[in-house]
Amino acid sequence: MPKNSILAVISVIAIGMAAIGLFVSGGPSVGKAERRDQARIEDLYELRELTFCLAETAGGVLPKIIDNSDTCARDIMFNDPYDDVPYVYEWISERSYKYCASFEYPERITIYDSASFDPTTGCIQFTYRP
Amino acid sequence: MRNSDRLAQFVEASLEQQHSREEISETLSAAGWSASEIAEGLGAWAETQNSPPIPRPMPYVSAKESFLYALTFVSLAMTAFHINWLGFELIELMLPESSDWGNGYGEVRWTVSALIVFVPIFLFMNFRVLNEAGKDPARRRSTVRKWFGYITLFIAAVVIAGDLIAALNALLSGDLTLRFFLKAGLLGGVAALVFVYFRGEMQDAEE
Repeated sequence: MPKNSILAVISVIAIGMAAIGLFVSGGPSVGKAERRDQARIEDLYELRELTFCLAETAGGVLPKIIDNSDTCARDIMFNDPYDDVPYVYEWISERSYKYCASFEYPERITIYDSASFDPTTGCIQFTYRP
Repeated sequence: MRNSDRLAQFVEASLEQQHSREEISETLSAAGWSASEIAEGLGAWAETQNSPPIPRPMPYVSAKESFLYALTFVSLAMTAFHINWLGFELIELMLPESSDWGNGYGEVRWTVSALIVFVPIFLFMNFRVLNEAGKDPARRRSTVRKWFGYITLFIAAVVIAGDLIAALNALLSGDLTLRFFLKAGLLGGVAALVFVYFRGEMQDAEE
């Protein structure tokens, strides 16, 4: 195989794969949306901390409604910082609850702990362990 | 004084005294020099009856060429590495498994960015190196070129061998999935292309 042909093959592979990668990952607008989704996820995890604190101060009972009480007061976002829509808290049982947000690319979200994320609803289900 | 310098000095002096190459070869052989050393010593001088003997061009080292070849080498290595990394990420996105960690889109963006930078650098540097070697054949004797060429060949050969070992191990362990097969194929394919390309380059350099 002539050297120039090999060089051409390597170049075509590299350029072709870069084009596919760009297409698959999306452009800058998708990247920005993913970062916004990441911020939403972080907010939901902050809310989980608040929920845990509220449950602990209530004697191990998960609250039905979330508010920033004095005992658990913290700098926390209750609304989506980008569209100002409130995050949704849902009591499921005495040991589980979920928080939901409007994600832009929910199928790209990965949760690294035991919580489970449902991309169709945009909800993360947490378990309360006193 | 190095052995090769002493040999070169002796061969030069012998040729100046109009000794034949056969005589010089026999004398050196009797003194314990190996056939390859004798061939190299005699090969340093053109086969003419001219006196003084005419030296053949020798490999050389230059700072400028070190820069050119180092940049070409690094850009090729980065291109090959990121082609594989990107390929692995795309294969994992195409064929996800429950044990996957993370979504891979960040890695895809990173590798695309690296390819956008390194592929043009590699193509430009390679074009420049080949162009200069075409204009001035003396450039083909660059020692730096040979070193980088053979290092690349070595790395490509090790990658191919490692890839084959991993593929065979996966096969024997019953883990040869389509996903693994595609990854191993990509890695081996890119390494083979690099190997074949640089083998051609080194054949040119040796000639």
